[in-house]
Amino acid sequence: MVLKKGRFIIEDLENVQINIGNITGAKVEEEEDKKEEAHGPTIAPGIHGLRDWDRRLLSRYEPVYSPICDLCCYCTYGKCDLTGNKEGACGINMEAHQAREAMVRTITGASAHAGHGRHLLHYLIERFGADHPIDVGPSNIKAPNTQTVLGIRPETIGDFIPVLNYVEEQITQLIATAHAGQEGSALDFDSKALHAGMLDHVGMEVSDIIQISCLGFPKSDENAAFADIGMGLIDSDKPVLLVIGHNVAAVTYIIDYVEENDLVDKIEVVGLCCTAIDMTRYNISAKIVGSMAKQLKYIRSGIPDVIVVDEQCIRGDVLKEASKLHIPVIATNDKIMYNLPDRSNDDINSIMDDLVSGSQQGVLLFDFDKIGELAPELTLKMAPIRKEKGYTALPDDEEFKRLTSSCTQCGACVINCPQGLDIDVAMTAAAGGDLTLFEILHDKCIGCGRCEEDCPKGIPVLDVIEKAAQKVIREEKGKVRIGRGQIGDPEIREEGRNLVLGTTPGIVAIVGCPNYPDGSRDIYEIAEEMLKRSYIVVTSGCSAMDIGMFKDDDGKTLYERFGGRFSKGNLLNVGSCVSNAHITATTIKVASIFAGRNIDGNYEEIADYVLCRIGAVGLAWGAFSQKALSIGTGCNRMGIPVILGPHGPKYRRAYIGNPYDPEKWNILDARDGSSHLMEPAPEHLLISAETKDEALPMLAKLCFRPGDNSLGRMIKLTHYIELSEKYLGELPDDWHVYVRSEADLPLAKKEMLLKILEQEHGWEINWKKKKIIKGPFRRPDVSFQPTNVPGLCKGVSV
Amino acid sequence: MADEYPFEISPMFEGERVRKDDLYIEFAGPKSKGFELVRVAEENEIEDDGFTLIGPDISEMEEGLLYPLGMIYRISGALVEPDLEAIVERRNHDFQNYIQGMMHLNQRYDVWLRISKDMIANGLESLEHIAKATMMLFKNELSFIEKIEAVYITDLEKVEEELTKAMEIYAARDERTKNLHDEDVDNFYGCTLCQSFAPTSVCVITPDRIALCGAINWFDGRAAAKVDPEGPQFAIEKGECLDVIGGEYTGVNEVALKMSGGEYNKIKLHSFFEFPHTSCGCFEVVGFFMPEVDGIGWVDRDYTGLAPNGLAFSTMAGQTGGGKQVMGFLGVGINYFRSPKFIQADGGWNRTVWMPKDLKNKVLSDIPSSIVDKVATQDDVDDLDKLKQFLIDKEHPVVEKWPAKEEEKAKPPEKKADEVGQVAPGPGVFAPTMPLDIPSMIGGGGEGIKVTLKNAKISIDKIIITNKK
Amino acid sequence: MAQKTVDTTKRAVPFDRANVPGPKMAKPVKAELAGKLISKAKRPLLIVGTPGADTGIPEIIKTFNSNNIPVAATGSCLKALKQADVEATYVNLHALVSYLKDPKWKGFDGNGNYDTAIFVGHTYYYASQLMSTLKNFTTIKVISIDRHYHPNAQLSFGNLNDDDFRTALKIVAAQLEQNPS
Repeated sequence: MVLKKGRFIIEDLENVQINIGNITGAKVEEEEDKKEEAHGPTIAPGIHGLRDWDRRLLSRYEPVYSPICDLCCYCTYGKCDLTGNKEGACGINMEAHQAREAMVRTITGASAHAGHGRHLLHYLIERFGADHPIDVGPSNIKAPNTQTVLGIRPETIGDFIPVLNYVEEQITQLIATAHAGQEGSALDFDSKALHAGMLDHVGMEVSDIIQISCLGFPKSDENAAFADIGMGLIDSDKPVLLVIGHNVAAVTYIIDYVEENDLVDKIEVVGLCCTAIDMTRYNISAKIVGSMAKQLKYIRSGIPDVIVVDEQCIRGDVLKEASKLHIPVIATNDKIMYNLPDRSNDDINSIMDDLVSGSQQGVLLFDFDKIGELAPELTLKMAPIRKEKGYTALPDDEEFKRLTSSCTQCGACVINCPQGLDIDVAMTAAAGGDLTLFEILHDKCIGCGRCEEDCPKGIPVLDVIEKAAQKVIREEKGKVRIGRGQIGDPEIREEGRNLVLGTTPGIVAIVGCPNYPDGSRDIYEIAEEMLKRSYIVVTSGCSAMDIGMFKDDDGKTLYERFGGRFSKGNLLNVGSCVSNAHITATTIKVASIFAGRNIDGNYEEIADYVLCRIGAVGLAWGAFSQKALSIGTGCNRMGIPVILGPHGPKYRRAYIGNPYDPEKWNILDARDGSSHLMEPAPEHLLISAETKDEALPMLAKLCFRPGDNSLGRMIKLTHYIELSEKYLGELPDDWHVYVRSEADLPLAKKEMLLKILEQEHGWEINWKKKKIIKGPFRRPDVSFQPTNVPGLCKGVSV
Repeated sequence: MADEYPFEISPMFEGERVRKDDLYIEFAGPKSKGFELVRVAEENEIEDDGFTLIGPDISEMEEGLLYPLGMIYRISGALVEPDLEAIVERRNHDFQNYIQGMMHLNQRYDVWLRISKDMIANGLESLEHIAKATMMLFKNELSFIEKIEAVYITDLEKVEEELTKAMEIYAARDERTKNLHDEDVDNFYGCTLCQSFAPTSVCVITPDRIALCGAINWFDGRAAAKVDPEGPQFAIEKGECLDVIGGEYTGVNEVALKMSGGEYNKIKLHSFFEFPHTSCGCFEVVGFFMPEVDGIGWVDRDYTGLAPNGLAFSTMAGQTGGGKQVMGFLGVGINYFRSPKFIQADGGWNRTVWMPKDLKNKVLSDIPSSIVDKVATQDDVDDLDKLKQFLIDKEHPVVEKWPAKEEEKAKPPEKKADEVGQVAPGPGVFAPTMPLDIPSMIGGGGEGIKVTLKNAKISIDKIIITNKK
Repeated sequence: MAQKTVDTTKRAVPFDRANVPGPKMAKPVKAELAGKLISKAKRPLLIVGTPGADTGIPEIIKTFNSNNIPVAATGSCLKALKQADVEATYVNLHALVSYLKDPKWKGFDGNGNYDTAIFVGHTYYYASQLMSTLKNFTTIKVISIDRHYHPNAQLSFGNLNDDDFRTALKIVAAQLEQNPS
């Protein structure tokens, strides 16, 4: 019997489950039996819900604005010149405008992650169902940021819908304040920016948790496998499919298709940027080319046969550059459409024909199944054609000689280079046959291509650099642990002992983009130094990738030398950019696990706890994007200080503590509400450093906290002093400020330091007992309960 | 710094390894003999900072070879006493690892040391430098040491001779530790180090109850309190004993009230249910009460499965800790299982009904033989019903307490499933689907409502088509 | 005494093509004038960045110090300055501009804030951005005697090659020597 079109009646439904998204018309009963109402002081705060906390932070860590442009061009009254803190036509002054600008950047970053999260949530609910449970590994608090901000304890991915609803509403309200004639106070703009930062961590958390739960990513796995990374590892003889971006949804279809059709050995599926990181969390057979800095370089090499893009941090000229080398581009996300035709409803073969023939340079495709099939099949088709023609932008030896010799040393490329690299000097040397300068420059080059924009001779400078550095590039082979996701409760519990006893001096999070001032080796060296000193080093995104590119004399990367557990002297890769939420999440967990704090809708108390007690600091050494700013700002609101690289001041706003001003450094004792003068710990909330050598002692210094016991303080002080001596050449000027008693003094130098305290600072020392009698402005009291919030003090009515 | 020594000294060198290729001299270890020992002496017997070497020095040793090494330190001071010897001795390991280029493994008679070639290149010629650096660190940390001198021995015969004596001393110490109980001492020691993270957490360290982090025992507490009586480790005068079995003392209660900021005012040191000792959060094991069997289960941090009550470690651990006294859950260190007073207020081992297999194996020698086979593991049972049966079959002591409450206990297993949904479901437990009341699916009609499904994606596992008869 | 001369007012365009902050940009200044103005300042502060540690530069800076101009060593130039016997205090540049705009700050010597900030030896975009803070939020006179044109200073050299830069610095040093404070 053959079934044709028609109608029939279903007599019986046996064990059929129908998931209903929305019911309109009939009255729907509240399903309250499952969940109690969320309780907490600030459940789902609005823009001014946490304003008090922001004001506390900002009164101590003053916003310092460094305008990148003295003008405001928001409206048609302008442009207005605000130089010298003048007012524009609408009445806004320079200060408020800078704060507004920084806020807008923060909102942009938060939106990128929230948008990514919403897109993922739609897709994953459709594919797996809203009831799909959340699984992040061993954890009592599965979504710490979500719980702290909203009081929601999600158990299924569908539970995140109201979470993103909240984030999106807040973002709309926030961006509305950037309209002409809204907020007039710089401080309140900054409060809104902090709000956006907080929202970012919620959005990121949702994004990562749902993909971890549904796509089989590692769940708090300290033994996450190693992925290969580096241009030198890609087999360019094979067909190469390159994916760039951040949203792994479509890519999983490609990977599945490749596996199911036995193409794993026949095709290289490689990735740039966070999509690469998340690809390897999905399937370890994928390879990572590297960070977003490698984009243009890799395309120009001509190696990719097909490029698939999704969203975020992708160059605006991918289509143009790819077309020049006959590389078809498939865009898969409406954030980036490149003016391409939407062929989601077309037959794959007809799309393929057009792309192979070159009659179309690229397509827009929203159908994941089609993407999954088209991309690999297209790659297989394109590869022989392209390999035969040898399409590459890199000049051959003859052309290289011609190009380098044609340089007139005008310096236009140097002026255009964001790092101000000495391209002209390297060009001269190369023309003379010496490639070493270019080989060194290649790593410092962030692959932006600006050097070419104004060359009077039309030299494709980036191609010259890459051609010259071919030998070095072939050696670019590294290893990185695939993103492990959250930190599990048992690890945190076990590590508690080390944090208390000072065996672990602190936590350093090396995260963010690759706009490094002096090449990618800096963060490798910083990570290595801190790991040797037993700090916990956490990393994510582009930084996680670059850290894995360098090896020691035994040929081992840092990931291979050090374990991946949340414990002293270990190196953890939490994952892609959205995994940064797990860093704030970990600090929230500490507050819950060790201090039994109620976290539901209790943001201020938790952030206060983190600021007073948890010695964690972020380092966004090459931060370039708005996302990096929102991640950093979100950390700031949670009480975690961040150090930026020297491009950092371009974000326009920092949060700097002035240590000489006693009014800024009052802390309350929660036992009785009494006020005390404290040492500047941490001294800053958001600041920049010029060089790696400067950043290292600063990282140690920003790990001091008022809640340190003597063991912890002693070990932190030891490293602050040693790093300052090693990298800056002398004892820091302010080490004594962090000494509360002789028990805080580094053991090996105790005598020498006591002498200095007596001779240079006039302190009184009992030499027989080696005790400090007088000097510190704060007596050590291990039961002192530091807090910045009067409402958390006993005996203080709010 | 480190002008006086031909090497850097810093905690950052603690994890430093000296590999065979970098090795200049190796000392002691499994293929040779060695020991480290600290002894109390009279003030006039010690030359402060003195160093004596019996046997060849580094400058006389051959590169790449293995030598025996005995290290004896003699200390004196007004507050020094023999009970502190072991505490000081343990620091030898930490301090010698602070020295750049040097590696010190193990303790006591197991010590094993390596000196790297870099140290020689940087000017190390004599063991005296090492001894003096170590003594400097001893004095800097342990201020009750007023005078200290070191005797290092590299002559095999002498090492063996002193080692024999040392073994007796170690054995005597172990005996003392084993035989020292709460009732034998006047002072306990409090530790508030964790208050930097857990503001109300106070550990009371007694001979029968080591700190739950495992880092500090009664002797450690004693030593630290001598160094800094105002510091985070301090003496607690027992005062009057209010409850011998539970372990309640007036002195302890006073301290509890003060140091917890008023959170609680009573501690029963060896109780699970009443005024239990608090924990910060780093406990290795969480104990949980299962009312269905009137028994206590224990789950350790490394166990990734579920306990018979359907909950995981992290979930239950989340119910306690944070420096709060919580009834029904108790965080402890593994070492507490070894205490002769292990939750004696509530039946000790006789109340223990379940623990993961690996944990049980770790503490096997401490479980009384009368009960060891009656404690279930995940291999024996995986839910409460099976646990009940197991306990009955094995005639576990808790079963005797059941009969009077048997009927009430009959229901719990079903209730537990719902409670699981409310407390926090473990992985794999789905929330119940929403019950729906739709009278008829297709074609409308019936009770006057029309149901329209819009944009519904229905995926069907199987369609069974049969001929209509 | 420096025999060489150099015209430091040439090529007064931002060294980063797009670093055009607004209508108010630094006036190009001759080295001699820069030196004279610095020597006249009541409370000058010399701010040196990491490139200030380049070979030979610390020695030139040493010659400034004879005028008792306090030196703030930012970034990681302290070691090299100390080796050249320059008395300097380490401070982070970002933090420094925060202190400079705070009326409560009493300076490194406790005698009050500064009225003139002199920049030399900096990572270009870093210093440029932070000078913007001083330009917009303080009345401090910012003089750049660095190698490249800094639009956010009040007075600045144009873009110089390395030789001319060192010559220019020596001219400034000569001026300071002639006009001791």
